[in-house]
Amino acid sequence: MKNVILSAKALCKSFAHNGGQVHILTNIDLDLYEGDFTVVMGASGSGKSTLLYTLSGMDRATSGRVMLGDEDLASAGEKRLAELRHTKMGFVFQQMHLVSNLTLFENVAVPGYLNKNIPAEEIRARADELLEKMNISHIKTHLPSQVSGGEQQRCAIARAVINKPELLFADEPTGALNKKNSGDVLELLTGLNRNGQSILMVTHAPRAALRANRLLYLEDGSIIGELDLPPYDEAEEKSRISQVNAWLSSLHW
Amino acid sequence: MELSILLKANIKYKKGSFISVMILTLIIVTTAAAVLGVRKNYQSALKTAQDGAEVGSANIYISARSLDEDLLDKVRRSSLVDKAEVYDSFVNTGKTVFPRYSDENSYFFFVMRDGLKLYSPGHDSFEDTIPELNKGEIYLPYGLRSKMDCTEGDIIRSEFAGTVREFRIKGFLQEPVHGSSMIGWKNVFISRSDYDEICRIVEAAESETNTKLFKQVKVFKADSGLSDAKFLRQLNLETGIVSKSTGSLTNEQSERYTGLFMNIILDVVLGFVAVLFVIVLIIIAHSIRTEIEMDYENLGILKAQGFTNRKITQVILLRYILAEIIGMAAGIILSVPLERSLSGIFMKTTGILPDRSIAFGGTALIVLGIFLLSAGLVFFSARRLARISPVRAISGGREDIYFSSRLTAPITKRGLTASIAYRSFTSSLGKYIGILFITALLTFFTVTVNVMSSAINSRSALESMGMYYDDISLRAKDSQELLSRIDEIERTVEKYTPIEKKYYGSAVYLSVDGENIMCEVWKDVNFLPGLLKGRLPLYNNEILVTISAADALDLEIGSRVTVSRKTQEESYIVSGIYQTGNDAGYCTAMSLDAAKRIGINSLSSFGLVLADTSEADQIAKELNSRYGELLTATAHRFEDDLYNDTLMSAARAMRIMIYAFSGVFALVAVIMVCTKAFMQERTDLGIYKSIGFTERRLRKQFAVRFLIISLAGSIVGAAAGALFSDDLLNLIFSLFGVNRVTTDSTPLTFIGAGSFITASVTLFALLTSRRIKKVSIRELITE
Repeated sequence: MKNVILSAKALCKSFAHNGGQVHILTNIDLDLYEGDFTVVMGASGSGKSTLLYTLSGMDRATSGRVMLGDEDLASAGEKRLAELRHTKMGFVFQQMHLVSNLTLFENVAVPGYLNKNIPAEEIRARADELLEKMNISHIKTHLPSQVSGGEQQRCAIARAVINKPELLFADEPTGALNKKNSGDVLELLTGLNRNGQSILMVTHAPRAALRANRLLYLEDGSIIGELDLPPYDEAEEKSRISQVNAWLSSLHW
Repeated sequence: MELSILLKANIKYKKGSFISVMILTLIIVTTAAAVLGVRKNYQSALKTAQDGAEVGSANIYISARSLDEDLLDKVRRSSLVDKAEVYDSFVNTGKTVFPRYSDENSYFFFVMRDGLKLYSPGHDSFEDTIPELNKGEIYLPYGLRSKMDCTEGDIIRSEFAGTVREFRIKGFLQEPVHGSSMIGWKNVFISRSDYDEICRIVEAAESETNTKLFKQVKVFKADSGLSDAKFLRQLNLETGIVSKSTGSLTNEQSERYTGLFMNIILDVVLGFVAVLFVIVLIIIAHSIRTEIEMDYENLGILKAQGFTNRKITQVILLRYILAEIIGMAAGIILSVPLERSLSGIFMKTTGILPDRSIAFGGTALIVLGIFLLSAGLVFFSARRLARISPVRAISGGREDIYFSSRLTAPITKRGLTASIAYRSFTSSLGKYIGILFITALLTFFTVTVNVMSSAINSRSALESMGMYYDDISLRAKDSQELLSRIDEIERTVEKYTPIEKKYYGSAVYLSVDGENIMCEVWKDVNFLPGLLKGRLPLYNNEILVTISAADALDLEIGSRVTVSRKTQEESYIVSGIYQTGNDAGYCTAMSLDAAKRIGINSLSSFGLVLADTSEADQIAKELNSRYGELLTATAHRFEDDLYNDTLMSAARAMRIMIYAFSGVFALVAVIMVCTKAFMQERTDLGIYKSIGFTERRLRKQFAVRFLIISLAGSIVGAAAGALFSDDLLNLIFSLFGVNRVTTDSTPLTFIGAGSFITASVTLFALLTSRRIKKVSIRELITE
């Protein structure tokens, strides 16, 4: 039996528009489990990015609850949310968003420094280890503008996990990368997941979705499909592709 | 069509800078239009008053005994004179006692005549008819109302040849020649019965009294093209009437002295507007630069769609012009009440009820100037548009950051906020130097405004007008001895407080190129106030002349004059033109060393200006006890002088206006700079938020950064102010015809300005940083 790390109950999100309400998310009940690599798919405008913001506390739900462990993100103040972001959550964005005037090493280390309980030496050692793991330690003193997009995204992943978050949120992490770099990034995320990192990723790339052990399909603000898969194994990729494609076809993808 | 769509979008998304430019323009136009309006309304009202009263080219005051028929006939027959009118008068040179103060200036009494206007009880209009004066009633010129703090119904008292008479003030007149509080001699009007009665008393007096029968000869020059001063000198050379008179006042002198205080203060305010405008231009240039950087992507997209640099520049230009038009329109409307209240303040000194109109011509020129200069600046600043490449803009937006600085320090866990703030500096030095420059400029501006305001505190304004005021005056019992022991006396004073200025001088009449003219002799000419052109005398063969004297004697800087006294005669060179309150500005001045050449070896008046006036009474007491056989020392309190109080309230009003506008101006500029910086850093702030930085920490980091920049900028600005503000002010004032202003700056002037800007920038950075709350991490997500 897996532990639930994040749970959404009756989650709704709507926006006021032209005097009326546009419903983006409708009554979503969702549990995310420890150690899972969960991928949310859906067509453009289906609400998958909004689901990511709302689950991660970046945006407040119109109604419903989002529990991270025992804590309701809906009632957490800004200060607490900031604390959660550098203790229990990590974020990877499509456009990397590294701080342009910090070196790759500093970009990774800075969120670690926010953690009062971890000594600076340990953060530096962790950052070095992660950069090594991401295969970018040789360019750690470079600025973001001096490295490739793939290298920037690897640095962003290292930054997201420096504080060993309970849940890593990834928003189209391969969306701005070429095929080679996309593969590298997905490999790194898979590796992290194998080591126990829980991940929630939003994507519309089926290749990226293959890495998940749990797939959710969102349409018009509701989860209309779910597919459980065994953990990713490269040797079984072909059968996995068929399985995922069949599932997506059944959902009129 | 496409321009209007882009313009609307541009205004909508750049509301902040649109409103800021609008407010800054509003401040400039409000101030400039009000100042021009005050001057125009005063000048037109003065002209109407002069025409109504038929003031003539000069008034000569001559004792009734000296003006015989022959002399008057000569004057009337002179080809220089169009006509001459004679009015009977008697002068009282004794004290005139008002309810609260008394005046020792000469009052010329007349029977009421046509051409003058009577103020209504509210003093904001004129009565249609002037009620006849009854026995015991008097009409006074309006300038006396503020000068002597009197009002309708008050009783004033004078002694005429031993007989004390009381008059009830029936009303105040607009008298355009001597009516200003800046001119000492006054024309007052009484009933025929009082006039005749006092004349009889004076005629019956057996000995010399303080009241004499006089004639006022009003002369109108023929159209000879001569200035009033030259006309009067020529007339005197022909007839000798001025030499036989007690005094004269040309219309030009009267005009100059009536509006002197107002003009000096308005010049300062116009100088302030000029400084303000230069800073607005610099801020607009900075704003356009940062906007282009921030809008790189959108501008690139527009270029990719076929918009030319010219078209995009037009959009930027139209936005600024539109903001300026709104600011100008509002400024012109606001200038009306401001002009009214300023005019009301100056009416106290001029005695002239100003007209009520807007100075359209002058304002239109200023508006046109603002349009042209800002349009030129927009075109100049928008050159950067040419560097925008559509391809790079669409693919990534603004330039990547590459920097390699020796100043770079590592990011550390301890002092994380400070180390990140410091990194922001070293990585974007250009941007921060820009902000530092603006902060330095604002500080320099505030210093300049402080220094400028000090030029219109009443004491400085008096000095700029060529008048001086001392805190302790020494009346010599033996002037030679006093002069020889003056160093010892100064040392006694300096035991209490440093001496700031020493006014040791005499006023003697000398013959200058054959004209009998007052000469101010100064021990140290460096303290002489009121220099307008040229320089103070350095050598003992140099002399200063006033504008009136230069005009009458046909002199300019470098001219040679022959000065004679008794049997001695020497040649002097005119080193400068100055103004003075003595003899209605018909005067010359030289150093004691220069005066010694014609036999003047002693001085009659000794005045000291103290750094700390609080001990003036104590100092006077000690001087009287130690040097009682040599002198009588008297302490004065500048503020206790009612006349100064009138000037002080006018000056204070101007200072309040300048400070209020400067404050609003500086704050708008600071908000503009902070907002722009915030917009530039918005993405980075979102990133920091996403990795767990709290709003509080980010706000602190933002504000601390601005504190450091503004502190550095303020230091640079204050230092520049200390070095250059005086020179800049004198340069600005010279554009308005004032060649030297007396300013009075202390270390507090610079520290205060620096602190004001630093505190404002930090405060507004902190307030602007509240917007960090609105920076959502969602903005980092690409949909």
